[in-house]
Amino acid sequence: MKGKKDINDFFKDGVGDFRMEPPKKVRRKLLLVLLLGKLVSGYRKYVVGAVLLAVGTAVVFFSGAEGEFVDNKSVRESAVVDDLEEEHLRSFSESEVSKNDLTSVKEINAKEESGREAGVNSQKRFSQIQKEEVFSTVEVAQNELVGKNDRKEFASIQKRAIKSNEDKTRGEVNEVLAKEAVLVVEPKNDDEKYRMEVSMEPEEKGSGEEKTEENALVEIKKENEERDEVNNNGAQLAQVEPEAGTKDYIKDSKLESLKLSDLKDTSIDTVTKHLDLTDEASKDSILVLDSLSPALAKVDTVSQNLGAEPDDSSSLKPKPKLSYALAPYIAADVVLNNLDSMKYLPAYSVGVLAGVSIKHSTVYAGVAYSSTSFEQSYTYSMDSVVAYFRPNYDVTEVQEMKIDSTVNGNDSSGVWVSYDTTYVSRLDSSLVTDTIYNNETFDKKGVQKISLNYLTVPLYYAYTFSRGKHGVELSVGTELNFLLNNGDVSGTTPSGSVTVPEHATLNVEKFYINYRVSAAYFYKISGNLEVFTELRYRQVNKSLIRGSAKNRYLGGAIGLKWRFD
Amino acid sequence: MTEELNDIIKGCQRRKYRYQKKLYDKYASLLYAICFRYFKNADDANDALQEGFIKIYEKIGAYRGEGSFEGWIKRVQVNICLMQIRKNKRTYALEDEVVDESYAEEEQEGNFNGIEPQVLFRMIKELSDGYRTVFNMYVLDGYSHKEISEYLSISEGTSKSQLARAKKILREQVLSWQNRVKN
Repeated sequence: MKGKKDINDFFKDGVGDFRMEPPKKVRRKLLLVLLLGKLVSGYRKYVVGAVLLAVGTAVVFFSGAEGEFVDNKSVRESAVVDDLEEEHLRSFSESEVSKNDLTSVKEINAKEESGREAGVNSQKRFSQIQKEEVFSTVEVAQNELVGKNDRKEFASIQKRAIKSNEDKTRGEVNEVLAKEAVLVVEPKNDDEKYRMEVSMEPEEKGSGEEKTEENALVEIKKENEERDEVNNNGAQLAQVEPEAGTKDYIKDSKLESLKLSDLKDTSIDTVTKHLDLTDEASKDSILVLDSLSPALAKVDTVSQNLGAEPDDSSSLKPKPKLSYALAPYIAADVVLNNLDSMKYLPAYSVGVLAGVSIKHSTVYAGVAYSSTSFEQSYTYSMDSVVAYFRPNYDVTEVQEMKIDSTVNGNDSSGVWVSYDTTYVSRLDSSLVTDTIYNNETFDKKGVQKISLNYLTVPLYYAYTFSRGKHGVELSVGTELNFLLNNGDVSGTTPSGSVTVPEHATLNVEKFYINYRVSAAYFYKISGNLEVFTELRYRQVNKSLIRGSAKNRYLGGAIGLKWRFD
Repeated sequence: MTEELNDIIKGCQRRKYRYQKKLYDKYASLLYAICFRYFKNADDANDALQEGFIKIYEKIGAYRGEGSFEGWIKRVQVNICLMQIRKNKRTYALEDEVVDESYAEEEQEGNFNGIEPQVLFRMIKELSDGYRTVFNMYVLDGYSHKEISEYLSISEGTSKSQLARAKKILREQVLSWQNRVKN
């Protein structure tokens, strides 16, 4: 470091960029607070969504035997969550949980609660004392301070009033005032500055005599103008809200309780003037300057200043915005409770949903065509005549002459000599068939397949939570189903001909309601377009075929969803 | 502004934990030094640092890239320190006195060199509360006497005299240190 003539520059260059490693515990604490705040705010919606799904499912299951519908109102109430939009999510000061963490980080405990109460009590007592003995003088001064917005002038007037009545009013407030003579000037409403307690300005002490009110007003006016000039140049200064426990906070809180919030940005004198028309006691409490009260001084200003902060446009919640969705889909379900005599085939549906969304909640309504099929076995008997063919043989005896001749080899005459003739019998048979006719009855089994087609109107409530391009949507609701036709009823017989046995006529419900819960995963393909796949459970409130069981379906759906404003 | 810093700022504006951690690791030492300049007590400095970062994370959305980011967070931290001091109700007995004009000229002179920053830092810390605060605000953090008088509710004359006193003490300490080192 080369030699510096100016000590300012010397220190500035030497220490300006000096760095010191903070203790590791500070880092740990801060990052833990950050992480906790983030976890709670980020996953709160998942927890609420899971609770919603569990409640909805439990209600559907337990009331399934009677087909009772889940109470929509209770589901909606359990699903109400705070505004979770990201721009509203703050690390700390706008979240109660993170504010409380901040409180714990700063190790502020219940002592401050009692300190705060004591401070308020002291404040009240002080105001009462003032009102009785001192404030008569102050009131007069107040009325003459129209348009002034500097607390200092009020404090000086108050000080004179207190001095003039020091024999009458004692108490801890006056003692503190007399001993320390500390003035606290609260920050202006439109300009957050931080002031520190200092002793009374020497020029006031050294004056020797009390200034007249007029001189005080003139001086204060000048100071106000100077201060305004400084304020205009201080645009780069970080903004920090007035703290709870300060005059502004007390004033603002009181104004809110008196429903005079529009006066928040005005000076205390204007407020006083206004309050002259209303309530003396309220005026006193607003104008109290008990900055010296130790109890008030211990008030934690950051952790509790949640609701009473002056209006900050950056913390205003954005108004909820409606958006819409359109979602065509196809779905298939299988029945969970098949019977031996009735086998349900997978049900199919194709439809389109329209939804209205606000924040993370959506209400869907739609229309779909759905087809439910089942097979039912049956038996029947058939009478028929059966012909039997029996083969027979006719047997006749036939004699044939058999000549027995021998040839003498020594006789060259060539004359054959027959010595004997015999007759041989042989049998001759021919096939003969017999036909026998019988009447018989046969027991037959058949299967008939029945398809029922419905117009379905889904109505349900869904809650969405997403992160990036992925998301999950949980829903509970109902579907109204209207029978479109009796469907095709087909049966088979052993002969192969299509007939409709008598007992194929069934009592089919023309209208039924089914309840549903589902969980869908969706992926954002582009800004407005999503593809989703859904797992769903449905339960019918009554059996489709009168006399049979109430069906429970488990199935899934896939579809596309367009979201638009 | 480097690209890395730009990413960190944008990440913090989006409330990304990872980037908030990076911001802390990058600037904690700088801001802690500021806190330690204002507070003698380590606990107060720790509290001020935590509050400072909390406020930075909260308000970083309002930072639009105008001016130096380091200057912006330093100013936030300084304001937090001042607010913390006020909350702790430190009373400063700042008495007004006539500013010694001749001293104001004398203090410019001197050949100051060869002192480690840590030593200078300690010298500042050893000043009394009032001198230290005014010195920090004026010399190191760039506040004007007018602004200091507004913050501390003192007159400009008081601010100047406090600064002059602080500089005198520091100058003596620096020269004394240099003499010791020479010897």
